[in-house]
Amino acid sequence: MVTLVTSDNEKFTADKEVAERSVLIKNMLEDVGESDQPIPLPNVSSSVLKKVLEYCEHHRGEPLPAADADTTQDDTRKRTTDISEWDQKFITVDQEMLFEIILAANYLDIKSLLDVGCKTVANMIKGKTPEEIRKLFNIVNDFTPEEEAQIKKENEWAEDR
Amino acid sequence: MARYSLRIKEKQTSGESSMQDGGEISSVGEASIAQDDDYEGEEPDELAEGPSRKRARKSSKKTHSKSHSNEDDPSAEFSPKKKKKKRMPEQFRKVRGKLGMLERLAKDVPLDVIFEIFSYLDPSDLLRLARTSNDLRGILMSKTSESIWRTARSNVCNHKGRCDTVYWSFRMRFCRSCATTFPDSWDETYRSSVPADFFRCEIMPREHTKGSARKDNRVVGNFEIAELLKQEYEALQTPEDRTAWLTRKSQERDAIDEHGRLCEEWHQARLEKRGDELSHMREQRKNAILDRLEEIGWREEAEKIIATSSYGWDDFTSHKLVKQTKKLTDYGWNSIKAELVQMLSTHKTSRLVAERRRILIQRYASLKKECDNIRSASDLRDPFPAVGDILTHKVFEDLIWDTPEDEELTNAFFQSKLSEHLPGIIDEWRPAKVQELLEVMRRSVPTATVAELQLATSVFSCTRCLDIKMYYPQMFYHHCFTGMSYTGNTSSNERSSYVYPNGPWMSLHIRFCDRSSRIAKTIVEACSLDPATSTIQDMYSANPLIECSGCYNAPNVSYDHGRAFMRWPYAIYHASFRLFSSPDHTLATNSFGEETEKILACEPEHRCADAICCAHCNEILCSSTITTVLEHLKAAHSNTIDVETLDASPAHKLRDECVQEHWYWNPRANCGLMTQGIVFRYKSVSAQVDTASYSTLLH
Repeated sequence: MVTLVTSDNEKFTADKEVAERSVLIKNMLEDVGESDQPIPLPNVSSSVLKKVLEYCEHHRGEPLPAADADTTQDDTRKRTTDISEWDQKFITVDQEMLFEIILAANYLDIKSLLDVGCKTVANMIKGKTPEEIRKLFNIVNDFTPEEEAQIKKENEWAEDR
Repeated sequence: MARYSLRIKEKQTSGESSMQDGGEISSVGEASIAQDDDYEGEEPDELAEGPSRKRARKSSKKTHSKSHSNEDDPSAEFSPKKKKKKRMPEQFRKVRGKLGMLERLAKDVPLDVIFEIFSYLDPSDLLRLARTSNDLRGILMSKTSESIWRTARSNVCNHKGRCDTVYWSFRMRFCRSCATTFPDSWDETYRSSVPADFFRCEIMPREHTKGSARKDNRVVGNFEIAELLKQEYEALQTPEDRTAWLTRKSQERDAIDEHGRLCEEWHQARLEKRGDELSHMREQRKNAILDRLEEIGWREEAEKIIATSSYGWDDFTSHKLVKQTKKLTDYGWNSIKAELVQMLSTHKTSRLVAERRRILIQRYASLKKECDNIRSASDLRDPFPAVGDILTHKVFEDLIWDTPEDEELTNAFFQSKLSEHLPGIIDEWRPAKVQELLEVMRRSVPTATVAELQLATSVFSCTRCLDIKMYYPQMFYHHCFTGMSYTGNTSSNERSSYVYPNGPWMSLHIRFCDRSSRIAKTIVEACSLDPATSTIQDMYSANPLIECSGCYNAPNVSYDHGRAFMRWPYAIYHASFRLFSSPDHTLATNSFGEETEKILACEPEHRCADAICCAHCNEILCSSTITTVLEHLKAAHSNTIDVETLDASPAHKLRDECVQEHWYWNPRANCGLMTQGIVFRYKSVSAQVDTASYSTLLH
């Protein structure tokens, strides 16, 4: 068992197998060796770590991606934004939590979780107009009217068909 | 994972330092803000910072020179803050207002995570995203974001390279493989995918796809645009709105098409201009290389290659090291020099071989022409060497091969050499070849002598074309005996390849024809002559009339009916052929009683071309008729021959005695005895042949 300490000083215990889905934790454990000392995760809050551990628990035992596997794959295959049913339900969270999960997955180096997060954000963007994207992600339109007109003119070719 | 490795290291370090600091919490985002703040000044408030930055950016756009002068400030140059600027791209430091998730991502998360999100989007999504805010536009339109767009394109197309083909009416670029998915504009599925009014009002775009294959040249539509138009159309509620929309779209389509046409013109002009630029750059490089080659003595060779240029293509100009647009540098020249010199050296070797070959072929052609001239004017009744015999004679071979290439050997030169050497060659060649023929005859007639070669019973045939029967000296001119490739007196195979296809004369395919000889013997005997002494000439003089009883056709059997008659020596050819296929055929000679005159009256004039020669000038006459002979004598020999007397004579046939001295059968006639006669029909009243009246029967 591994003890993890979150940014808000909450302690979580998890199976080594589950915790090691994070490459960061796996490397730390390898470096420290057998020890009962808790691992501090200063960038992850307890609510987020709870979600992350839920994800790792569900996917325990699944093969971890090889170190360089994705680079060659990326070049040759079209990327799909399909997400498995369980992952879909898991990631159905508010935007704040989604953002935190992506940050945590990136920090903890859990590629599959990071992929799920990125795909979810991509799916939210896909097919939406600029205004819809702004609304969804609370983006402030900081273009001046002149800039907007200019951009519209530049993009005319892509829209007026 | 490679893409995270650096980041992970950084995080590990920060994590470790955080742990050392007693577990102090600091997010990556906060760290970024801290860096940002360090750079921008002491102001930590993002909201307060926003407008001032915007103002600063605007003013920098307007007063570029002013900002430029600030950059020149030496104190700014040495500022340690300046270095920090490079650690975070500018676009991430311009976030203002309340942060939405996407903006927080853009600000707080490393670039590769943003790239990861963008990598799942299509180009159109990125384009729309770039229209949401200045920050996202800054990220996406940055030159460094090229890979994002490439990845986005790979989500819709597998094509790796550039998409140069613009479909202006569609306002899209497509690679060739994507273009193949376009429907034909008349395709039923495509047309039925939208309301019929779309086509009636001509609002659907059309494009011509171009390609090397015929199937690639099509007029196509676009499903994607059709779907967008359909959605717009269906969103309209009233018929009036829809009609107005159609009218508007139709006008827009016209405008787009016109714009497309102008764009295409511009595009083509641009391509042409670029093409000119590139070809100018290539020309410059080529000239630079030529100058360098001149320094090392290879320019001339390169220019010789360029002189062979066809449609701007030659081995030098099109060489991979020459045709580049890169400017030639000293380093570049040194790296290509060896390969170019090697290429030129190889070319020089093969050019010299080709040039020598061309000269040799030309010399052989000149010699052959002169040989032909002499042969055609010679009396060929005595065996005359074949062209191949003369061409491969050592005297001429040495002349052709050993004379320096820059020395021209003219036709006149060969003419004089032939008149010098040919008589000697003939004197040497003729007895040897006559002896060779005699050896052939001796396989059937062991006691044969040279004189017997000219007997009427000495008939030869060709083993390659079995039907051809020949008398001496026809076999010396038969094409089968000179048609073989040269295997003559030089062991060099290389030399033989230059020789005219007809090689020297060989007796390899000649055989003595026993059966024809027996037929000839019977005919000779029927003429009351001695087969052992009668020559071919004797038989020409005897000129017997011969009937083949087996070839009689009854009037009701064939249009070509009557009794079949022929002259000697055609009868030998006829008999050997007929008796071989039908043993019941018989020949009768010279004993046709009262009917002889009537039969002779039916004998036509044989008009075989090239069958006879003039006995005075050896010219081959175009037709074997008495008229042709007389016309030739009048035209060519009226000063030496009394043609008027000849013309007034009662001779009316070629074989009449008074004419016979003016012509002879052409020994070069390729079909041997076949050319010397024809079967003619005597349509007698008493059709039935009385075979008992034949003086000679042949089986």
